[in-house]
Amino acid sequence: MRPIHPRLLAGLLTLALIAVFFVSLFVGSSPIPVIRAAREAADGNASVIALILTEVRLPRALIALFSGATLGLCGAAMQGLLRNPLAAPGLIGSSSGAVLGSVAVLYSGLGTLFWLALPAGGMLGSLLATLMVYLMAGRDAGTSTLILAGVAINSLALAMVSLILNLAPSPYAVQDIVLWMLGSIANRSLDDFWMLLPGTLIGWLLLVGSGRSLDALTLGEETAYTLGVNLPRLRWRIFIAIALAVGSAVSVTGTISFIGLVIPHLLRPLVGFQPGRLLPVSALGGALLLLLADIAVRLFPPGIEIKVGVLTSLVGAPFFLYLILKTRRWQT
Amino acid sequence: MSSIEARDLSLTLGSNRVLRGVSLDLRPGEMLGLIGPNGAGKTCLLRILAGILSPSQGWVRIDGRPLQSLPAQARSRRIAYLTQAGTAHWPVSVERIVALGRLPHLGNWQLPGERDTAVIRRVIAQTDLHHLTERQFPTLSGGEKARVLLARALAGEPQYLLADEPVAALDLAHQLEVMDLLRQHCNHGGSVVVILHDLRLASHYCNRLQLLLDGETLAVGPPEGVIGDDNLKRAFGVKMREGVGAIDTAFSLTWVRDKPGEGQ
Repeated sequence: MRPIHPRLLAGLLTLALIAVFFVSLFVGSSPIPVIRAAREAADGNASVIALILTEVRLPRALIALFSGATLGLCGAAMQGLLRNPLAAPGLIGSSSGAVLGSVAVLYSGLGTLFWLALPAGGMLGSLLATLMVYLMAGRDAGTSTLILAGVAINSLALAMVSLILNLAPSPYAVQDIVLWMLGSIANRSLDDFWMLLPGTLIGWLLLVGSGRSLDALTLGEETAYTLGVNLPRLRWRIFIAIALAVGSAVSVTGTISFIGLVIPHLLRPLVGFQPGRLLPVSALGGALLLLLADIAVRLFPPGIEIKVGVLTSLVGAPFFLYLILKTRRWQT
Repeated sequence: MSSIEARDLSLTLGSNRVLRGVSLDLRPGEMLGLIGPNGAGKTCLLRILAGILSPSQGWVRIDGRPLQSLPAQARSRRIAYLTQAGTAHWPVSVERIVALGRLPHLGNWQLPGERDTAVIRRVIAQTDLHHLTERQFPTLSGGEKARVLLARALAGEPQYLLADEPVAALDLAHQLEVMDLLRQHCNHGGSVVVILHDLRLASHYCNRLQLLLDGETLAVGPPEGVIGDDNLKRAFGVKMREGVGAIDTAFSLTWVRDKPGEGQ
């Protein structure tokens, strides 16, 4: 596949994203005239269609947009850092840490005490898991040590989640937590969007400007170092960025897998395999894919409720297997 | 005056004492060859000079300044390092790999300017890579890869080039090509420290040789003074054939390149 000029690719993805964002405002169980609803909402008219738009469709689309962009961007950053197309934020414990933090908040009822408790729990869990991976692996750890430490922390976090579910006093609480963990953007409000926004934006800002260093890492860590890259600082910066952004996203949406894996992989040939150029287009592609997936789950007949996290896993897992087989063939 | 000075370098990795009190000087325009058997500490010495490893004892000065006190960007503008088995983790094009050499000259948000583009073009021409610029790095032959990685290092316009076995696994013609490029770098005022296993190449191209054995300097000086029967016997456990005892007879082999003006 021939590379496309980065600005042209970003422009095409942006146009597609704007179009799909507006389509997502139209799609739902009851069709509404979106333009009229927007006009009424802007006039402060609390009509039903205005409420459906502002309280149901818009938050859902915004959360899909920002969470998808986070997952795509963080996947590209992680793959660039580890120089591995199979890497994803889940690999260093960020996602499972966020799940544990959020589940702990849901279980303890802290979420009802203050509105930022859930994303704070997600970010804290994600940061702690990342920190533990880093402490276990050591300051100057190599890539394989980091991955092994990530596997260990993932197992520990998921064991803790199982323990919380096991100890839950009510089966309804267990059901709520399990349904949340499946990953969904349905029934989210603008408050949820505001909750996810601060950590997301800080994470994105931390990733901005790391493209050159990721490009240099193409030639390996020693060469990157001699090209002026401060590797320990780069690793910390990317880990903290992923912890904040993924922690915020997971706390609001639950686990949505494979977007961070699939999108960078699909777009990489189009940017000439340059990790730095992959970052912005992966953010756009991730947002586009999650919006499309969320539209797709709304198209199922009434009575069949498929969570968007389940859909991305159903599509993503075979893709992951294909990637492993392709990598194996390439290595042999 | 531009120079690299290293004094009394010692390095311990785990329980292994890899270097013991090694000193090194690199003068302007000089090519210094590091030779010695496997495990003598050559690569570790080169990595210390590149700032990748910190010595347990001793110091390195670049142009009179302690290496560790140089900011990363200033260090990377002065010193380029060619690793032993250079590779690219993504199938990036040759042109992009060479362009990575300009990173030390660019700020985080700065796009490559006219001068950067001119330098990249010049280096691509110098290393005879015009016809390969669009090719993906993993699809190249060993010799082509070696030239691309050397071009990447030269694109940074470094004063000092540290090369770890840049001709390993190359055929004779490509070995000469790479060594000629290193020599050219010295002729233009740069300096090179190169690890070589081929003593003929080392004695032919290097101004001085430093022979390491078990982490210590066994001999240092002009090739004819370093490559002698005693040193070869001590370092490699081999001796020269009867009647071929002197450097100028044993290493008198010269190569004539099949391109006008490039003969050695």
